[in-house]
Amino acid sequence: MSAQVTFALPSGRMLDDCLHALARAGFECDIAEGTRKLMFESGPARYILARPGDVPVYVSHGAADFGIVGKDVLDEDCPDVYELLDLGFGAARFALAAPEPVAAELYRRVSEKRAGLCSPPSRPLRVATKFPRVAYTYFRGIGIPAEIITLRGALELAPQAGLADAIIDIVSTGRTLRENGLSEIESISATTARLIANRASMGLWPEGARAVVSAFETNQDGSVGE
Amino acid sequence: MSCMPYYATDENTALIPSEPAIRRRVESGVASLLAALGHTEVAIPTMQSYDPEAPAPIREMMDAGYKLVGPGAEVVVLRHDLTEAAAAIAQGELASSPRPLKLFYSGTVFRPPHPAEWSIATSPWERGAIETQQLGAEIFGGQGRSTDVAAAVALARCLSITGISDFQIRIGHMGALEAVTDVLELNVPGKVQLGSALLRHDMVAVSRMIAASSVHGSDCELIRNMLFFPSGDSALADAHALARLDQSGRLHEAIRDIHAVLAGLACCDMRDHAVVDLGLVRRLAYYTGTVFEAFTPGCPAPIAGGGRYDGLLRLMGSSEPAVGFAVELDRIVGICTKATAQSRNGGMSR
Repeated sequence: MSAQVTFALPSGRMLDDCLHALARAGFECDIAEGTRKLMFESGPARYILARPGDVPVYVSHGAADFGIVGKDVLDEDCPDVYELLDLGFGAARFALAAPEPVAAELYRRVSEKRAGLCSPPSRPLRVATKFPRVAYTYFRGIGIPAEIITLRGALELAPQAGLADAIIDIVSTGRTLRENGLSEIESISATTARLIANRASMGLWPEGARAVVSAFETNQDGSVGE
Repeated sequence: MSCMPYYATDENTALIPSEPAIRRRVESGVASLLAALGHTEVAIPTMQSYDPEAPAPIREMMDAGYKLVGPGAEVVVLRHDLTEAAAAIAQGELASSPRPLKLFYSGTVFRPPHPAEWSIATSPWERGAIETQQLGAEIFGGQGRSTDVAAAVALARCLSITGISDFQIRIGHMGALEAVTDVLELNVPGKVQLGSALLRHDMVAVSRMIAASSVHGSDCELIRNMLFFPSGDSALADAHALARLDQSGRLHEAIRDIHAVLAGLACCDMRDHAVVDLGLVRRLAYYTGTVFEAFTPGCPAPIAGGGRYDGLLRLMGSSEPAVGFAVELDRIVGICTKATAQSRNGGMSR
C-alpha cells in the first residue's frame, strides 16, 4: 500500500452517500458538480470514480486500497477482496418477480419447494437477470430448474416481450416493478453498501488498514459496522 | 502453404518470448535452492487413475477435476493437486526411505477456475487458470514445529530468489481457528459457515457470527481483530488474551507454533516478510496446523501457499506428519514480466 490511501468509489446514485460516509470518517473529498474528472486527490487520500461493477476490480488488483460498493456487486462477482464493514446505506434487495398469472404459479412452486413438497416436472423457467450467479445460486438452492438469460438492463421488458417468464433484479421500493405489471414473488437477499479492501494492502499496511476501518466504524451513524 | 492458426482456450495462453526464459530462471533458481536445502526431486505424472473408493476429501478433489476416458473406458483424472501425489509417493515407493524425507517437484495442475477469481481477472495468470505450473516442496516425517520452521524458511528463501523483493508471507494456524470456533461455541454447520465466510473474506458475516455468539464485550473485539487484521505482534497478543477462554489449549499451542516460525524467519533475516493472519483459511481442507500464503502488491491471488497437512496423510492411513508449500510459477512469471515491461517503459504503476 502506498503512503497515500486510495479509495475506489461507485459513480452514480450511491456516490453522495459514499462521500458523506467518507467525510464522517475524516476523508473529505470535494468533487465539483458536473465535473468529468474521474480521479481526485484531497487531503490524505486519492479517490477513483468507477462504475459500481468495476470498484472491486480496482480494489482486488491493488489500484485502490479500499472501495465502497453494494453487496449486490460482491454477491454477483465474488471478487477476492476483504469485505470489512456494512455501511448501512444504499439499502435494496434482490427480488424474484413476474407478471400475473405466472407470479401466482411461481409463488406456489417456490412455497411447495420450501415446504419440501414434490412438484410435477415442468419445463425450465426462463429468468432474465443482470445477476446470473445470484440467479443460478437461488434456483439451485430451491431446486427449481431455470434457464438464466443475462441482460444488461431494463429487465422489466423481458416478460412483456416474451423473452422470459420472470426476472431477478435489484429492487429498492418496488415501484418500477409495479409500474411494469410485475409482482414480487420472493425477496432473495438484502444488499447495502460495503467497505472493501485489497487483500495485499490489509497485510502490507495492517495498522493503517485498522485505522481506516476504525474511522469508518466510530464516525458513522445508522447501522454501521457490526 | 498457409498455417492453421492455433487457438488456445480462453483460460490458457502461451508464454511468449522472454516469459519462458523468466520461468526457466525462476524454476532452476528455486530447484537449486531446494536441492541445497536437502530436498530431492521427484517427477509426478500428469494423470492419475480415478478411484471411486478413495477417501471422501481425495475423491471430492478428483470429482472436481478434469477427466479423460481412455480407449478401454478407463477414467483418468488430470492432476488437481501435486501435494497429494507427492504424499502418495512418500507413503508408497519411498516408504522405506530415511525420515525426514524432503522432496521437491514441479508440474502442471489442472483446476477449474475458482468462481471467486474468474469474473474479475484480466489475464490467465491472475484468475487461477485451468492449467497452472507449480513448484512445490514437502517434508515428510519431520518431528515437531522445527519442520514448520524449515518449510517457512525454505518458502521465504525460494520467493526471495524469484526476483520479487516485495513479498509478504501470511502465517495462520488451523488449530487457532478451531479454538476460536470452540470459544464461540459453534456447532458443526456454524464452523463450516465461519470457515466459508473467512475463505470469502466476508468480515461482515464473520462479525455477525461473533455478535450472535455467547462471547461478549471486549472478547468479541479480540476475536474480530485476530481474524480481521493480518499483523505482527498484535494478532498474537490478541490470541494470548483470548487463550484464557480456550479450554483445549489449542490456542496456546498455535501461538507457540507461530512464534517458532517467526523466530526461524528472523534467524535468516526474513522476519520483515512475515505477518500473522489468524483468519487465514486455505482452500484445500486437509491442512491441520500452521498454514502459509504469500502475496505481493499488484497480484490479487497468492503467489505461494502451503502448511502442515497431517490430515491428508491420515486419509492415506499414515500417522506421519507432513508439511510443505507450492510456489505458483505462472503468477510469478506474470509479475516478473510486468515488472520488466514497466522498468523498460521507465515507470511503475501501483
